[in-house]
This record gives sequence, structure tokens and C-alpha cells, in this order.
Amino acid sequence: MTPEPDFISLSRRFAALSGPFHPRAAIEASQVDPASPEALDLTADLASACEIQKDPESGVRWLMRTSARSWELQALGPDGRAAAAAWRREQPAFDGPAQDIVMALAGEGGFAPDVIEARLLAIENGEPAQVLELERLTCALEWAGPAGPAFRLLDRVRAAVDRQHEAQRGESLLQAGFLGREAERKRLVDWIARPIPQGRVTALFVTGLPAIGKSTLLEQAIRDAAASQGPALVIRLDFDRAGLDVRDQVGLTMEVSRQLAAQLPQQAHEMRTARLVAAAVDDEETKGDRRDRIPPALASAMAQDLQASGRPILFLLDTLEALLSRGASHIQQLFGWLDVLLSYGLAPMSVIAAGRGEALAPARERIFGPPVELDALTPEDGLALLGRLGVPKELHDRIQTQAQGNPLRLRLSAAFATGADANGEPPADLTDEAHLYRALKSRIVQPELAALVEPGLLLRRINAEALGEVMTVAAGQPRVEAQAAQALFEALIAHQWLMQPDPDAPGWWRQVPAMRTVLFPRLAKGRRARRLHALARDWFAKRPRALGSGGKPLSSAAGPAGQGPAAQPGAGGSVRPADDRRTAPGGPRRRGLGAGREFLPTAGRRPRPRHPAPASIRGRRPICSSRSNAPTGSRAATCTIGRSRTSMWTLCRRSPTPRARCCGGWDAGSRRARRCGSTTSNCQVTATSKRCRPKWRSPAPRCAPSSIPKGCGGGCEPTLDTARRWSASSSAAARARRRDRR
Amino acid sequence: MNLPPKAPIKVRLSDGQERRVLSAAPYLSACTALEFASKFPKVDADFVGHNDVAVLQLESADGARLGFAELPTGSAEMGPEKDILVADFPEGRAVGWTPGRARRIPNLTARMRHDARVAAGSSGGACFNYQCELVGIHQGRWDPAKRLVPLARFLADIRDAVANDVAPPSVWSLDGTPTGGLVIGRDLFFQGVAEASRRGSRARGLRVRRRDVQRDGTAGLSFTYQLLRRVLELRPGAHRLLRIGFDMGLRDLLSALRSAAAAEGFQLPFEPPALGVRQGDTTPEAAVNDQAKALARQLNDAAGSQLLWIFFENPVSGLNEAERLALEAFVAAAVTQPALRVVLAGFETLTTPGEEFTTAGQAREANASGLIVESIGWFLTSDVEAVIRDAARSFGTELAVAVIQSEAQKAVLGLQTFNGLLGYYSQDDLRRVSERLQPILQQLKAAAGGET
Repeated sequence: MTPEPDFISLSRRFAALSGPFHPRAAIEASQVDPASPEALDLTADLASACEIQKDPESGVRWLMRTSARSWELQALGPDGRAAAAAWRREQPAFDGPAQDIVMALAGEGGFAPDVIEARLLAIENGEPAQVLELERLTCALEWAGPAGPAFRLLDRVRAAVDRQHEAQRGESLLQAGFLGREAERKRLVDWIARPIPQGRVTALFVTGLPAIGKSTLLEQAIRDAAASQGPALVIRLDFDRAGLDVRDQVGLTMEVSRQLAAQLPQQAHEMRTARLVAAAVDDEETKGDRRDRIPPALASAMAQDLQASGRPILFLLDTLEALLSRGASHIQQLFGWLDVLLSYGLAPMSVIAAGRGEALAPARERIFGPPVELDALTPEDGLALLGRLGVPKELHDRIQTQAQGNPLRLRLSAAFATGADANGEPPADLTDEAHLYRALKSRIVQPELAALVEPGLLLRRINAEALGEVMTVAAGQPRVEAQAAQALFEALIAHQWLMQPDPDAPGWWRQVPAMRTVLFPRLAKGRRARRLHALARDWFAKRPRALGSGGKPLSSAAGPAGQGPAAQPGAGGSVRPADDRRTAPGGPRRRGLGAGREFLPTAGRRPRPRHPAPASIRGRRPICSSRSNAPTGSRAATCTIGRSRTSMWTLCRRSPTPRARCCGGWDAGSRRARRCGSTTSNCQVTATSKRCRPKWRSPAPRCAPSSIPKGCGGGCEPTLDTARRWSASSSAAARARRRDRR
Repeated sequence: MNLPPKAPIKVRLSDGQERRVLSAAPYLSACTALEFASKFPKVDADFVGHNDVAVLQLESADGARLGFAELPTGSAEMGPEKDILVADFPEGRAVGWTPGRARRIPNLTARMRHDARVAAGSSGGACFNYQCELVGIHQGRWDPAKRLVPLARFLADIRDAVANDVAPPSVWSLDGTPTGGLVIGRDLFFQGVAEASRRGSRARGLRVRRRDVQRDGTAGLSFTYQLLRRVLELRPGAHRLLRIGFDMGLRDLLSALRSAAAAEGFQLPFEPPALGVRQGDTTPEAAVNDQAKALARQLNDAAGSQLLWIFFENPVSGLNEAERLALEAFVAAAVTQPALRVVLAGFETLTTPGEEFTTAGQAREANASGLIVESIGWFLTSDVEAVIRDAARSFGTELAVAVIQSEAQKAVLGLQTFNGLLGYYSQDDLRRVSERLQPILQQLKAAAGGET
């Protein structure tokens, strides 16, 4: 090998003993004429070993890569490093980072091992630490590398950083404080207080709809438990992290070790060493192939440290629906893995699992007791939250109506209402969109699929063919081949929190009713939704009359006798899941819509609902509880449908606000619909129909019977006018028109 | 009767390694029903479409390393009598070549008989003439003679499949000179890059992992970036490459990615986090996932018709929580984007999103996207032979196999075997092997008329 010229060695040494630097300083330190060819060689050589950053303030800065730096410093040897440090002190740009490296290499000043250790001890005992302080320590120790005497403390410094991150996480989730849900909190705290020392792992399961506050509740419960029982060692496995894969149990165990190390900083370095040993592979190991084992040495070391700490270990398994979407066996494998960890001595252990819907369905036997089911915030908790967020009182009712008890929507509305550009009109559309994004789109990983779900999920039933030929086109995407459509369909139905097989139509899938309830009103808006309806109508009309279960055509297999298409919001603006039983069994059955029409969530093709709400719903849901405490003016007392423990706010007819009243008038001078003056913002009155009707399938509270003007078709139901636009040529629509005229 | 193989087929290579066979055979032609019943059709017409031959594709391109025979360019018609050599491998054990003589069967061209004394279990063996040209495939024994299927019967059917099965682009030295950093034992890396470079591939990059993190050091990982850059340069204009390090500590990884992209000329407009998934709206995991998805989408769009490779350099002393979440989120998002490719060098203690493939072939048959995993830590004598052969070819010289083997043996002489495995050597010895090889390669270059 040709030895490097001196100026190259010097420039590398300079870089190794510097933080971010300007290349001119390296040339100067190497005593090379900047205009000479050597300077060019030097620059080219350094560039290959440095990361080049462009800082708007300080201009171009080079930073030697840690691997190259480590190589340089190791090659110097102990004596060489001391000499090099002395040399560096005399060179240009001996700035703060350079001084830190030199001190870290020499173990001097603030980078002496005992000084760092004392500081870390203070931080671990609760003294506040500044982010900048930890950053400075991390950088200097990392840059100095193993050559620095305090390098072994780097893992402890990182542990302090991770604890700060963890604290910020809690602050972020609980920034508005936590309100209500006392019973749920108590159950969680009680559960945490009863960790098991051995045996088969079971979990307390927290479930609820998207953005209902599951993770926030867990966060609060941890704080409650820490306050009453002392802090447990918390291992968070949020399966929103795609990297957490139960097929790689080696990696999963290392993740536990990493989180434990952050909470047991004294053991951080040893645990990292144990992880590196566990990471060695003897063969071609990949996920699912020889990685489904727990490294015994690592597990034993963790158990030992845990026992020494005297603290229980609490596993928080969050976003389990994401794990379920990777396969039912993943849930079982996860619990199997926990069993083994427990058997290794990671005890006493308690486990709390959380997820949308029935995320633990494949391992029901692992659920302890009834699940903790989260529902919308009660009106009083909602009001308290708004008050805490500083929302003016005059907006409370309006925001409550829009948010329907959803904590995310409440917070977003509050942010709009109290923000710098607040104008007193919290934009419902934006909070709707945000909720839709959070509930649905953010969870769809594949971009191709994410582009289809709005408005594609309006379809009541979906198969690969419908996805490829209707959903794609409606979403403005190019048609996809059958194979690609099948792949997308499989990706869609993997989301078991969202989709389920349609029991009435083999081979077809539909949305989980509770999710449809949430999503429908938000998907059913706009031009693309109308396009989907038109496409779906034509597409299903061309389908052969496929047979559903029991040999019935799908058109009649959408539900039991008497059930209508039932795909859009029910009366009163509530949203009805696909399997809702709107009409009493044996009631009038609507026929003649043709095969496939049942798939269409179109309006104007089902009987107008009658007030009060159908008996079937009344029978299914409990009557409003006395704890409603609705605000002044509420018509809760007249509410006929209560809010069940598991149901959505949107299913509840009890509005916290005074019932919207239709104005009863209409704008005779215009053929366009205008907004009704009532607080039911979605209510419209048109010049053509003279009927009070809200926007199509709105989730808004329905018009109160007493306020419905003569001729109103039931307030919040879609009107024939809508049907005329969408299916003017349809004989069914024509029949409906005739019937309506009568 | 083109039925796929029922069980995975494995092939043992001449260097002792085993390879799986891809389930989709490029060519599959069954024997006739009569032959299956140990009878023999009398006329050619009965053999139409029944050649009793399959062309299988290995999951990795080992031919580039172990050597291969070309298909004849002509018609491959055999004369009435021909001396042949038949590969003899009873029970899968290679015992060499058995000479014999092939003769025509009267009124039949679909099969020939031969008298090479190959042992039972050698069916499917290649039959070569004495010009080392493939002339047919040994079919089996039909007493008193044996039969072969002449290559001419199916040459046209397999020619395209074989022609398209090209070795992945590779380099034997970083700069094409004996002193420029020799590349030894990185076949899977080349195959992985080639597979990931294919549009529509499920392989969305590579994960380079050290077999023994504590022992192997970071040299192999640093070399990987240079190697990647060199390989991508073989197809100028088709690829872009970003390198992301963790040298600044406590840095926002997604911002660092954005800055690196900007430095590479990708102007990505800032997109504020979506409502509902901002920090505070949801968990940090969900928030960073969404930001990573948005960034990956932007990068994918910016890449256009090129493939944008993002190389993540191994952090010497680990990652903090925020960096780890961001890295996971970005990799998860990137593997779903058709124009993005990710290379993770190191990161052995982290679990990564997506699938993991041990070979390029596995990725080709996968339904989900992921990374090809290359484990580094040892190399084989045959890897050293491949470097000598490739270097000689690049100098315009074709060396005899015996010469290559001899020089390779000299290069590994006296090295400790890796964990006692014969023919396996530790990566720690790569530097020494390179130093031994350099004068040999320089001599070759000089002999070929190049400068030393």
C-alpha cells in the first residue's frame, strides 16, 4: 500500500479532532497552499470521509463520518492521540465541538468520567437535564469513540435522552390534561397493581374507535399507577411501528432490552453489549426463518436486572389492530413470546393491550375480563375539556355538536377556535377531514390503496373486481389489472379493524359496522362520491345476479326481510352501519331495484323513515341514561334513543345542543338550495322540493319532529331530488317519484 | 402437462453450498405418457411437446462465480454417431464425466441412445461433445442402452430464457485497478442491487448485516457504500444516491433526509403534518409514521424515472429513541414507494419493517416488499477465484481454471478457516488477501499489455 502523503494525514487528523468545520481550515491546518494541486487532492480525500452539510447560517460545513473518525483515532494509539490533541489545540477553528472532542479523548474537564457519572446520577435522581447538555455530551463521547475514557457512559447518556423523549411523549398526549373515564382508569390501575409472577400471560384489553383516546388513557393510567404504586418498568410496543415484527423475536427482545436500559441506566452499557452479542447471526437468518427465538443470554440478563431493580414490568401493547392486519397468527405469536419472557423471569409482569375493534380476536383467551370499551366523552367531560382548552363559551355547543364527543375533534375544533386566526367558526369540514385522515388514511400504508379508500369505501360490499373497476375509477386512478386489484383487495381486507367478510354475500367483504358508522358521513361528500355512485350503479347493474347465502340473490341478501339497502345515514342524520336493522322484521320489503342495487349507498331508493325512530333501534339500544346532563336547552328529555356503552355518539339521537330547527321556509327566488337558518348546519331547504332536507347523508342531528314543516320528508333523509339527479333513468326512481306524488 | 414442482427443489453446487430453485421454471417439458410407463413411443410425432427436460433457475446467480457453459449458437444437430461426455452424479454426488458414444435410433430424432456408463441417479445430466458444447441431456436407462434428449429438440425453446438470464452487474475492484479496493465475496450484494434495480421488484433495497457485530468492525459496512456507488454508476442516469449518517447526534432524521435530498438537487416543498396526526394529536409513533410517509412520497415523486437509493450508514454507538422511530417509519414508507430503494448498513440490533429475503430469487417470488439481507463476515476460496477471473477478463485475458485455482490458493495460504469451516475465511483476512492478490493482478495486467 502506498503511504499517504503527510498533508492528507494531517487533514484527516484535523477532521477527526473537529466537529463541523470549513474545508479551508483543514487545508490551513495541513499547511498546504490552497491554490496548489495538493489542496485539491486533500479536499477530494476529505470529502470522501466527510458528510457535507449546508447550514443557512454558517454556510458549508464538513463533518467527518463517525466510522472514518473512529478509524483515524484508533490508528493514532494512546500516545499519538495525546500528541494529536496538543497539535489540534494550536490549529485554526478550535471551536466548542473541537474542544469537546479533545477533552473527551483526554477525559478532562466536563468529559472526565467521574464528572459525567456524577451528572448522570443527579439526572437519574430527578434533577432536570437540558437537551443541549445531553446533546453535547452525546456528540463528544460518540465522536471520541472507544478511545475516550468516558465512552462506556455513552449508553447511559443515551438512556437519559430516551427518558426525556419518553417524558415528552406523555406531555404531548396529555397536554390538555385528562378528563373523565374514572372507571376505566381505575380498572387499569387495579390491573397494573396485580402483575403475575409466572404462568400464562393475559392482558387487560382496551378497545374503542379511532381517535377515541385509547393511547391517552394508557398514558394517564401509567401516571396514576406510578403515583399510587411506584413506577413500573414500562415497555411500549406500539405496533404502529412497522419495525416491530413478531416474526423477528430476536429483534423484539432486543427492543425490550433497549427500553429497559433507558429505565435502568446503570445497566445500559451492559445491556447494549448483551444486545450486540445477541445480534450475531450464525446462519442466513431472516424474519420468520430462525429469528423466532429469544436469545437466552439476553433474556436472562434482562430478568436479572429486572429482579435487581425490584420493580414490576408493564407491557403496553398498543395499536394491536395494525399487528392483526399482518395476520391472526401474529397476535398469538406475540403472546407466546411474552409467555417465554415471563418464564425467563421478566416478572412480575402485567400486560395491557389496546386496539381498534376486536384486535385481540385471535387470542380471546388472553383477554382478562371484559374489555375496557372506550366511548365518546360525555357532554360534561367535553365541555370541561373545551373550557380547559380556553374555548369561548359561546362556541361550546357548536363544537360539541360537531365533535360528537370525539376527543380529537374537540381538540382540533378548540385549536381552530382559539388559534391566531380564529373567527368563531370552527370549520367542521377541516375537523372532519382530520378525523377521516386519522381514522383511515393514515393507517393505509400502500399509497395505491390509500388513494382508493375515499370514496371507494362507500361501497357497501367490495370484492377485488369492484375494487379494480369501480373504486379505482371513482378515485380518479387508472384502472388496474385483475392481479393488481386482487393484491390491493387483499391488502385492504387485511385491515380487520376495517373490513370483515359479508355474511350475506360469500366472497364479498364489507366494512366493520362501527367503522362504517364513523367513516360514512365523511366519505359521502363531494363530487367523487357522486361519481362512485354513478359508477357503482352501472357496474352492479351489469353483474349477473349472484347468489348470496341461502341461495338468495345478493339484492335480497343484503339483510333480512324488510331491510333496505341501509348504507347511508339513518334518520336524524345518524349513520347506520351496514347491518343495522332499520325496519322491524316482517315489515314492508322493497323490491325491484335490480341485482346489485343493494350495494349502492344511493339515496332516494328506500322508504322514508318515520318518526320516531324505528323500533328495531329502540329495542337495540338502551334508553338515554339519566347521566346525560345535557346543557340547557337540550331536548334530551325527549330523546327516544339512548347512547349505548359501545355505540358511537353519532348513533345517539340525544344532542347536547338545542335541537336544530328547520326554518320551514324556502328561498322562492332561487332554485338552489340554501342553508337553513337553524343550528343544524347541514339542513337545507330547496326551492324545488319545498322540503326540509339536510345535505345528503349528513351526520348532523335530525330535525326534531316538532319542527318539521308540513311536507318535510323526514328531515335528514335524502330526498327524491337527489335520486332524480343520480338515477333519473331508473325505473325504480320513477316508481319512487310516482309514489311520492301520490 | 406443465406442472410446477411440488416441493422446493434444492441444488448442491460444486463448492458445497445449496441453493433453492425458483418455483417458476423457465422451461418445463414432461416426458411422454408411454415413457412414464417405461414404454417407448416409436415415432417422432409421439414426442412432440414431450422433451423430458426442465430448465430451472437458481435463486442466486452462482454461474458468475462458479463458471458456466454457453449454449451452442448453431442448430446443435448431432450427427449419426458422436462421442460424448456425460455428467455423472449418482445420488447428487458429483463424480466427474463419463465418456460414451451417442447413436441415432432408427426413424427417430426425438431421442438418441448412448452407452456412457453413468451411475443410476444421473438422469438430467448434461451431455457434452469433445468441443465442450452441450449436445443433450441424459434421460435415463432403457436397457440395454441409455438415452439422451438431443439439445436440438428444445434449444429454440430455451434460448431466450437462457439469454435473458444474465449475471448481475458487478465489479471486482472499486476503480477497476488491482490497487483500488478488491471486492471479494459480495455476490449477494450485486444480485441484490440488480434485483432491486428492476422496476416493479419486491426487493426495495438491501440490509447488510455483520455476522458478528463485535468482531467484524465497521470496515465492511463503510466499504459497502463505495461499492454501492460504484455499481450504480455502471448504469449512469438510472440511479441517484443519498447517504445518511448519524454523525451529528440527536438530529431529526427526517429533516436530515430532506437536507440530503436538497443537497442532491431534490427540492421538496415543506408539507406541514396533516391535521389529526400532528405531534400531540396522536402518539409519536403515528405522527412520525405520517411524516415519513409524506417524505417518502415526495422523494418518490422527485425521483421521477430514476431510482433513488438512500444509504443509511451504521451508527457507531446506536440510535436514540427518536432516531429509531423515524428510521423505522421511513423504511416502512420507502419500501412501499416504487422509485425508492433503501440500503441499511449494520443496524443489527434493530428490527426493520417489511419482508426480508435471503436471495434475489426469493424477492422475485415474494408478494410483499422488503429488503434483501446480505450477511458479511466470511468469504470463500471461490470468491477469490472469481476476482482473479473477472480481473483477468477485464484485462482481456482468459485464464485456465487450474491457473485461477492455483493463484487463489496462494492468496489464502496459511489463513485460519472461519469457525473451522473448510474453504471459509474470516473477513478480517480480506485485507491480507487483497495485498497478496494485488501483485498477481498487476502481473496479469502487465502481461495483457496494460500498465501496472
